[in-house]
Amino acid sequence: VAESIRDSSQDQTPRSHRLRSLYAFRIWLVLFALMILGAIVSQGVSARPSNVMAVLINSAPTAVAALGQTLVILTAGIDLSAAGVWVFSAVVGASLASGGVGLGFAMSASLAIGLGFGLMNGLLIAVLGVPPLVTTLGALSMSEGLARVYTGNVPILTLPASFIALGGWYFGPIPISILILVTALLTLIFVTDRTIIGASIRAVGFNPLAAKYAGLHVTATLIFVYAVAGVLAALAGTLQAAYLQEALPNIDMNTLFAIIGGVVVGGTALTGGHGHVINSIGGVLVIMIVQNLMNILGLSPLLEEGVLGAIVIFAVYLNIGFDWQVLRTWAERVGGTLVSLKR
Amino acid sequence: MLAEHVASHDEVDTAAAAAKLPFGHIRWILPLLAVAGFAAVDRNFRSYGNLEGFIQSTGVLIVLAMGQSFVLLIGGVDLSVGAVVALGSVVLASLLTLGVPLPLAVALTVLTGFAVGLSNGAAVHLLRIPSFIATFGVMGVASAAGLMLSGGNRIGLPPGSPLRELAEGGIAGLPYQTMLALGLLAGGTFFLRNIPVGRHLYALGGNPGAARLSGLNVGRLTLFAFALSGLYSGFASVIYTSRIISGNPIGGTGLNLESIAAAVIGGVSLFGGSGTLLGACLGAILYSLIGNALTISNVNPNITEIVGGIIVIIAGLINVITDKRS
Repeated sequence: VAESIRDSSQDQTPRSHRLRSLYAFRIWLVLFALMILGAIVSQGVSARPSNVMAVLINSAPTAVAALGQTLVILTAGIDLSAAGVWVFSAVVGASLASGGVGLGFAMSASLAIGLGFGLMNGLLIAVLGVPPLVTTLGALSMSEGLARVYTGNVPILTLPASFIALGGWYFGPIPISILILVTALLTLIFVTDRTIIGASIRAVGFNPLAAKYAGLHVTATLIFVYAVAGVLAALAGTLQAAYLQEALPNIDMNTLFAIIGGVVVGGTALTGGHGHVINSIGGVLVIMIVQNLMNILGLSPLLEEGVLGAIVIFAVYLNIGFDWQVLRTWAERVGGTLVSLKR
Repeated sequence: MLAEHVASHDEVDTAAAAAKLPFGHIRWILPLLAVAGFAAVDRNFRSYGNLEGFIQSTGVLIVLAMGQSFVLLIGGVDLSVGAVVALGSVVLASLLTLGVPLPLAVALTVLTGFAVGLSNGAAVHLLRIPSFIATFGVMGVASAAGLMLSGGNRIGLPPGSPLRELAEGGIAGLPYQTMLALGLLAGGTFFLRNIPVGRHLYALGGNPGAARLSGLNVGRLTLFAFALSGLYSGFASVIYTSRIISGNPIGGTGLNLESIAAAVIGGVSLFGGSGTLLGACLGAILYSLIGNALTISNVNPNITEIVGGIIVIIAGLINVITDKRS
């Protein structure tokens, strides 16, 4: 009997592990189902190679920013400033490039802005203990204000060829933005899965106090994730500006919805610790495909924000699980009141 | 017995605040110094006309900061207040354009805010979603609802609309919107101090675990806090619409940040459990004074946005220093 127990446990452990790890990557199943559904609903339009490529290229910058946001959310934080850093670094990079400095310098300046805001967020949150929500909400307002002051609230529409080339440059058949995304993704997969930094990030998300007593550098970890998130948001904004051939000084709430929504739809828990960077790419793709389908089907773009908001709420609810007990208690109470009113 | 416990908790708070006197009062002293500095330097800032304009312009923020305080008190945050103001202003303008009488239109607008607040509370409590992400999602839905309702355009009010009277008129020199804000302040303060449910909001924010173990109905309290925030946002949207005399579906941007900043400047804790509506009102007035001072000093309005961001971070920082739990 003891042997059979051991055998069965040996049998079951790897299988349940495999199932669990499959469950952890469920977003790709959702993505696959959505693609098939989309192709049916749009009568094949969404499955055309040109449309698929357009969605991929359009998703790349958001996905880059979502990678950084995933690290932040893994520590149970949030970075609302991503949308502001996105526009500020884009207008600075674009205006420097059109001012005649080299592309390398313009890009470095953009990324430096992202790094600066990331470090500011990280220091305020990790060292001074200001809640992430308030810190990054303040940083969002600051970065958008800076973008407006810098541009005089006028969009930058004339970009030099070298800057635009950044958006249209292909490496073989692969667009540069997707190449950058894949590079960032592989780097972050390595960092989160194979290094002590990744372990620290999850540990801080699970329980910062326990992580501290375990000898991990909580402060350094937090500063690191916000800095990475800032740099990646800046990179994303600059890529998007190069792709769209314009840099606007105003934040687009839909960008923020797509970044945070992508992470959440990808299954990363807002409570920290659980999740994986690669799933955020799946989450961003789901959101972008929904947006794309709305365009193809001719739905009003005004509806977009509402659909994204609903998706975010629904995704978080699916991750957490519905509390039927509470609903039943309320239904009973309402029912009881109705019955007593009837009497 | 619970009420007694809460009362003694308040006293401990006061004692702790008194012990940290210099820090506890920085949040009053800093903005006051800034305002005094502007008043000393700039003559426009001191003028009566500016004061009147200031009272007109600050009503929205005062009411929103009070609404935000209910949610902050239970340790949450409401990111949908700006979207509710935009949606409410579209609803009010559409109803008035359709010829609905003013009292009914105002009531329906306030009810809209209340409904959005209830859905926030339901998302937080029933779906167990953290408040910032629940209200973030609802913000998107509410904002899209306003956009769809208005087709994305401003809705002008019909000429001779009684809403103009609401914006400009008053009784005995007291503008209607100031009376509304005072009424909401008195009602909300009475609710928080004298009604058990109101006091329980403090208990829930001060220590959620203890509140649950004491037998408080956490779900009902959560719904109450968010519904009240929505209700106050609904009132704020009426003031907002009367000021700009149109329904603006994209009008609420920035109000989330400002309402949180105002409440926190006024001493409402970001960690829940402490703060008053009067404090939130004063915080809103101080926040607006700084913005007003910058505007009439011909500072680039975009710099005001940067300063707003800095203020909310500093307010959060002071909150962290003065809050004993962090």
